[in-house]
Amino acid sequence: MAGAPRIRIDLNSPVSATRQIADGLRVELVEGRLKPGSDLPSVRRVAMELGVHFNTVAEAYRVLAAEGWLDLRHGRGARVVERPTPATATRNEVADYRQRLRELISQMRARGVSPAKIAAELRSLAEGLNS
Amino acid sequence: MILAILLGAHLLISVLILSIPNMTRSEILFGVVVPIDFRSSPEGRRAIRTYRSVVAILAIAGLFAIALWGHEFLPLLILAPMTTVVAGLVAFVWQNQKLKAFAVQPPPVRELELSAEPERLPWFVWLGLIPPLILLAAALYLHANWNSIPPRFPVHWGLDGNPNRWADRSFRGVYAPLLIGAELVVWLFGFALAIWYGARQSEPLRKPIVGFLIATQWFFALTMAGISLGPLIHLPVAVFALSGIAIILVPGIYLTRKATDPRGPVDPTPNECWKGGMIYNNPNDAALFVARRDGVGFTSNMGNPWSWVMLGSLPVLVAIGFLILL
Repeated sequence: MAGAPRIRIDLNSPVSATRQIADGLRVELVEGRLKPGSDLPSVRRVAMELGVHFNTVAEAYRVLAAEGWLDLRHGRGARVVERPTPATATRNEVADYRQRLRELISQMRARGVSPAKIAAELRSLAEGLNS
Repeated sequence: MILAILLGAHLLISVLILSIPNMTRSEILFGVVVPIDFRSSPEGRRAIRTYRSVVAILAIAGLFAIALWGHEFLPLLILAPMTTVVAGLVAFVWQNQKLKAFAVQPPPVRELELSAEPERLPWFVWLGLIPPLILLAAALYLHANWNSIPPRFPVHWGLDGNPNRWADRSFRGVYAPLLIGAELVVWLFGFALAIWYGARQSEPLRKPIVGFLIATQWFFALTMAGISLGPLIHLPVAVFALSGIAIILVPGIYLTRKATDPRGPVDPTPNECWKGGMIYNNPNDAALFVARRDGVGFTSNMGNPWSWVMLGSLPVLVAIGFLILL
C-alpha cells in the first residue's frame, strides 16, 4: 500500500476520460490509499494537470459522490467520506461484473497472458483489497 | 551615433528571429513535435536552412537599407526590422506546414499524484504589491512639492538623450506617467497570477515567468516614478534604458536555457490543436496557458473563454492609456 495515490488516464483509450478518472479514483478508494477525511485536489487542478475539460473531472467526482465515496460541498472541494457497507450485490449485478471480468480476461488471454498468471493477478488484487 | 544604435537594434532583432529554432527543445521544431533526432535528418536540416536563409536575406537587406537611407527616410528604421519579423513569421508557418508530415503525437498517458495540499504562491509574488505603492509615494511627493514643479518640463527623451516631448504643470501633465504606470503594474500583477493559476504545475517555466513579470512590474513602476519626478529630481535616463535592457536580456537567457532543457516534461498538447505552430486552441484542455512551441514562455489556450477575456483586456489597457494622455 506504499506510495502516494495517483490516477492515470490514456487519452487514446476507447474508454472515456470521465470513466477512467472515476475508475482510477475508485481503485485508490477501495484499496485504502485515499482514506476517509482526506481531500481530493480541486476539479480545476485535476483537469489542468491531466489536460482535460473541467466537466470531465466534475462528472467523475459526481459519479463517485453518487456511489457514496465523496462529499462534494460547494466551495470546499471533494472530501472522502466513510462509506457504509453496501448491501450485497444483486444477482444481475454479479452477472454484469462477471461479464466484464470475462471480457477483460479474454483481452489478457488474447495478449498472451497465461491463465495461471491471470489467476495469480486476480488473487493478488483480491487479497490486496482485503488487507 | 543614433544610426549605429538603430543598426544594433535591427541586428539584435534579426539574431533573435534567426535563433527561434533553437529556443525550443530538440523534439519541437517549427511548432511540430518531431522525433528526437529529426533535427539532424536531411529534412530537419533543410527546414532550418530554408528558414534561416529567408530571414537572413531580409535581415541583411534591412541592414544595408538602414545604413544607406536610414537618415533620409526615417520610416525605414521601423520598416526594416518589421520586415524581418514578418519574414520570420511567414517562414516559420511555411516550415510548420511542411514538417506536419513528420509529426509524432505526444504520449497519450497522463498521470497525476492526488495531493490535495494547497499550492502556495511563491514569496516573490507578494513583491508585486509594492510597485503600486512606489507610484503612490511618487504621487504624494509631487503633490507635496507642487509649487516647485516648473511650468513646463520634459517627459520623453530621444535616443540621443535629448528631450523630445514636453508637458505643462497640470494634473494630467504631472500625474499621467504615474497613472499609465499604475494601469500597467496592476495588469502585469493580474497577468502573473493568471499564469500561476492557469498553467500546469508541471510546466518548468511557470515560476520563472511569474518572477519575470513581477520584475517587469518593478521596472515600469520605477521608470514611471522616475519620469514623473523628473521635474523635481534629476535621474539619468541611461539608468532606465540600461535596467530595461538588463531586465529583458538576463532573464531571457535564463528562460531560454530552462525552456530548452531536455530533462523537462514532454509537451502534452496534441499537434492538431496548434495552428501554424503558434496558436493553441483546445476547448477540451482546462489549461489557460501552455508552453509556446515557437519560442520561450507561454501562449494562451484560445479554446478557454478566459483567454479571450485576457486578450480583450489589452485594447482596454491601451484605450485607458490614450485617454490619460489625450
